Amino acid sequence: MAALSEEVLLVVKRVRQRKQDGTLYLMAERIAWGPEGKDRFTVSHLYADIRCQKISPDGKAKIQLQLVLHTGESTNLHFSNESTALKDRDAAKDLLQQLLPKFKKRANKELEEKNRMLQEDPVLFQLYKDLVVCQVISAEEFWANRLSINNVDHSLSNNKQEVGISAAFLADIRPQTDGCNGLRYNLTSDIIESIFRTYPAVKQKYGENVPHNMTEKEFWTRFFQSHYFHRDRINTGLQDIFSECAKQDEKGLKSMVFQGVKNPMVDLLSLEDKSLDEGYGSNSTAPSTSNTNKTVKENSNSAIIKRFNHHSTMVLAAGSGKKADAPNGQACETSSTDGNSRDSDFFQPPIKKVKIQDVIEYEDLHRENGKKTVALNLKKSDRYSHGPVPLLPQQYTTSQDIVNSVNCIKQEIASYKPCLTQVMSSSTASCAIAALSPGGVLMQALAQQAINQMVPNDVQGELKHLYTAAGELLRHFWSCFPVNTLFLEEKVVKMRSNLERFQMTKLRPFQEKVQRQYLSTNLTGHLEDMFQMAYNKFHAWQTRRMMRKT
Amino acid sequence: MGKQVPLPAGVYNLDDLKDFGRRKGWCPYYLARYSILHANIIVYSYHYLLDPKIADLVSKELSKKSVVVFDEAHNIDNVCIDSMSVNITRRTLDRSQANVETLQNTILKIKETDAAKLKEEYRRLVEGLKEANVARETDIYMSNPVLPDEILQEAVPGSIRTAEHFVGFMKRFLEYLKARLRIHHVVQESAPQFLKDIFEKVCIDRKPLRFCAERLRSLLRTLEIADIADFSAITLISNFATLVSTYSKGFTIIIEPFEDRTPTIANPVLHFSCMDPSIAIKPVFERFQSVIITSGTLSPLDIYPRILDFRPVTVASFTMTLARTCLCPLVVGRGNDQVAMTSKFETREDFAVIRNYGNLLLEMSAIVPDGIVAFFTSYTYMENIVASWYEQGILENVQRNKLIFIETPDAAETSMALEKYQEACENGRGAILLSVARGKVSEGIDFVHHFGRAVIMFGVPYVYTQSRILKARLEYLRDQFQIRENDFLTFDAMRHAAQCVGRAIRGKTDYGLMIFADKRYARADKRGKLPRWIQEHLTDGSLNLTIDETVQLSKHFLRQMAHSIHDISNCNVQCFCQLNLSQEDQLGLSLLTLEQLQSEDMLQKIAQIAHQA
Repeated sequence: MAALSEEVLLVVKRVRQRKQDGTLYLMAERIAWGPEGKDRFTVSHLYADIRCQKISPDGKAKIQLQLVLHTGESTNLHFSNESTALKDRDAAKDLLQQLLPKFKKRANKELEEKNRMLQEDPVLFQLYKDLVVCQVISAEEFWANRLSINNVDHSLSNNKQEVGISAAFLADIRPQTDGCNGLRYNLTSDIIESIFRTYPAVKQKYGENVPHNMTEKEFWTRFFQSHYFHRDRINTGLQDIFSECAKQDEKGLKSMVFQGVKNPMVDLLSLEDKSLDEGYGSNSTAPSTSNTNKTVKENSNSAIIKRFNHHSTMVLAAGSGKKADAPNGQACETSSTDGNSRDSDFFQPPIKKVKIQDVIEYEDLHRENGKKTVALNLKKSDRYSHGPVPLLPQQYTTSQDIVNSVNCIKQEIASYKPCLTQVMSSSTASCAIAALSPGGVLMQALAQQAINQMVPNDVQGELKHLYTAAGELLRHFWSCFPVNTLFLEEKVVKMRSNLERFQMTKLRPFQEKVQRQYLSTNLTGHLEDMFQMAYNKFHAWQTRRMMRKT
Repeated sequence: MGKQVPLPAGVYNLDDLKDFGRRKGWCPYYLARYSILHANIIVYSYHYLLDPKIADLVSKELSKKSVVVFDEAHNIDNVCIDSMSVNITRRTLDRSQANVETLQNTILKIKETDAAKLKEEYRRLVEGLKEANVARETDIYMSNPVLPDEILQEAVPGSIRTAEHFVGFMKRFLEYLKARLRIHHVVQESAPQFLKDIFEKVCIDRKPLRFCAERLRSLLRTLEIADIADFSAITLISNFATLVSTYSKGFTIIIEPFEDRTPTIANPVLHFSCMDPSIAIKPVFERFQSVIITSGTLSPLDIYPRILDFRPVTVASFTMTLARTCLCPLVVGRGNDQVAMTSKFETREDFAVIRNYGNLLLEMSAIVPDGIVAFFTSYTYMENIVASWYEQGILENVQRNKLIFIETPDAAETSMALEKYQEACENGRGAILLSVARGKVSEGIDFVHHFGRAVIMFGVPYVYTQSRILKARLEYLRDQFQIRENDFLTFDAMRHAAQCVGRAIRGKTDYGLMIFADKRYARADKRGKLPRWIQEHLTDGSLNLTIDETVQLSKHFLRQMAHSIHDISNCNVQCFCQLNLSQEDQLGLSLLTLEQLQSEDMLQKIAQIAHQA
């Protein structure tokens, strides 16, 4: 039983529904009721489906709880345990009160989304009207595969686009002298956000210290006093809470450097063409990298340069979102890259190759070969518009036959002698000519374009709607094949009845209407064909199933 | 074994060969060396041809009829000099000492087990280097400047013929070098002086010294030592011995007891420095029928034949044939306050100059889209300027417009900065890369399209003139080739400047600003040394500008370039594909069809352009 895996929040025994005793379960996502002695829920509502709950007035003898759904249906629950009925009901009510708002938001969102889609897409709206409002298929069925399509971009559009960080956010905190030997810094929440996103270490410190150890104001005061904020972070004292941040930044930068670059075209390490052995060359005296012989000023200068690189990198990373926590997650990441470094030999060449290819290829040296389009080559255009037709016994004429008959006709024409005595009257002749010219009785097949002139616009529109609706239904129907699950089996049966219903309620009236006005043209022939095709398929499937069963 | 299997025709780089080798189970190194002899076109670095140590292995069997093209040859003299120069430190000597001991032990061991081998070697050495001589005379191989002609005719001298004697000889030589490094003042001497001194002190003659390199190679081969890399130190010493005894001219020996910046730390180095690039390139000129030296920044042209000592058959300088004027060189000489901008030594620390440089960067960062690359004359200069810009709050303001990335001496750090720089350009934020002329970035990295819409050259990148090696070289150039010091320095500075600004334009679809921020660029002697394709666009109107004027001109240029060259009427469509110059726009200008190329007109036109030079 599926319910077992769910978390049951509340169980209320002796609750009656439709005069049947049973147990009420409140679970994490739904509320359910099962009759006594059966392990099956006969009532089950997702919280998201519930619009509101109503309770019976206090004085009433029957202590009830009513759940009203978005669809308008309602379920009455009667708490029948004499002694504790009121308490039970209130417990259930309170819990629902807590739970419903959570799901309401989601439900509303979903509804909004549906609403939005319907408003934005008139075709969909029409389809909705045709199928759901006329109860050909249920709303859930209608939305079932629409929402899933839209869920992806739905979540995207829902996600607020993140705003990048200005590179100069530190410059924006212009300190102002307040007149009495102090500085005032103006911090806005934006700037704080920027600082946190750029320097996760500071955020961590903030989390650690505020508000247990110091107030927010104190924290920022210290931050601005700290050398961490000031440029040459060399003399960060030990007592400074930010000295650790500086170290952490350093570590982050180092590990980023250690990870190396992905683009081989900018990798200076690999670019270095070191064909000279050690000791050869005119200026191979390696620059001493030890810091001991550097002056303090030089050290602070290079610290500034490092800081700028780090700052820019972090701002960039914060902008691109996902990498914002790179230096934090470094510790675990480095180990994984370590393992990869051996394989990198295998993975590198393709990237390199692609990059090099990019660099050496000139677009304008390519021959212009136009846009490649795939020509649709229809051998039998009727097949394209009607779908595959079962092979009927047909009379084929071989090419030899055709050639022979053409020859025959040629001969006959060559040897044609007009028999002037046996001509028809001029009136009959002109009649025949009229019948054979375009628009005439015999040439009606050629006058297809006339159809949009013959049929008034409102009928055309209606036909269009019918087509989209029928197409949607048929899509549902055909998507069930191959029928390999129980669910699909049910669905295919349902869809067939849906199709029949549609044919009865929508197509027939239209046909009758058309027939009343235009006897000659068969507008719905193709639609009927499609339905027939579906029925045939269904029939075939059913007989096969029956055969398998017996 | 010995099977000849053809390599499928195609274009292979080292990765491809590695891949191919892996699939076939062949050694990619030997596969590469083998395929070199069969390839129609080989593309490799200069060292494979110019460095005698490598050329001897890789390129000596190339056919005489091969056409050699030195592309990007603006630095060819430095490569030549590098390949012939040797530096010896105390560490080198210590390692050589260890090498010599290993050699001695190996010889002792081999003597007990396989004395015949050593005897065989001795016999070979008596016969001399006949083989090499025959090969050279019959012109099979390219000559090797470390293997001078004279020694080919002679047998290896008796004093170093047996293995033990040779090892003893090397020991003595090492001791002498050690003694020479124990000094407290700088010594500079010529090769003959050095030879005289070594003869007087430890009685080492010139002749055996000359055979040193060859003798060591023979010994290493006889002893069948597989790991040659371990013996790099002793090989270096033997190469030095041969070179110093072979060339009496064109080299200088400088022994420095410490680095100039750190006079307290003893770190003696013996620089055996080549002054004459023609020595290394001579075998190439002698062997191959056609040698083409070419580069986008080879200018002035006449200096190259002089420093490389050859007589050019044809000299031609071409302009760029562009479908549109896609470069805009500007010389900024003054700030808005009329203070001259220059990186001249006397004024480079001047507050006003630094501020003006900062303002220039700030202004440009506001108007140039995407990437800006700025070059400084040296790393320390950049550090100082960045620090004072920081103090003045200039960088903060620049950051409002673009992210800032800075080159550091550490290659890995710089690579990361570069990648982030490109990322920032790519995602539209825009960035500035502060970098150093003569640095790794200026030589190796291209800033195509939006990665470099403007290059700013802060100052003239003169080389650090206080180095003794450079001084010696300048002296040599003056004495031997009659090239004045100043001419050479300017030439060198300008080729690096051109190299830097050329980073921005990497194709005809590209466009970029080239800003020379130093008033000295406006002088005729500097301007005249820029490559022709830059000079051509450098009008009098773009000289000695103020920052404001520069901004105006740049704005105009950028706006023009941002439009496609098609037309303005349907520009809202074109803006999106501004970089796709179509073929029709270029045909006949920067793009020729085969028929056009072969047509009489075009050939004439090309000849005409070439003769203008």
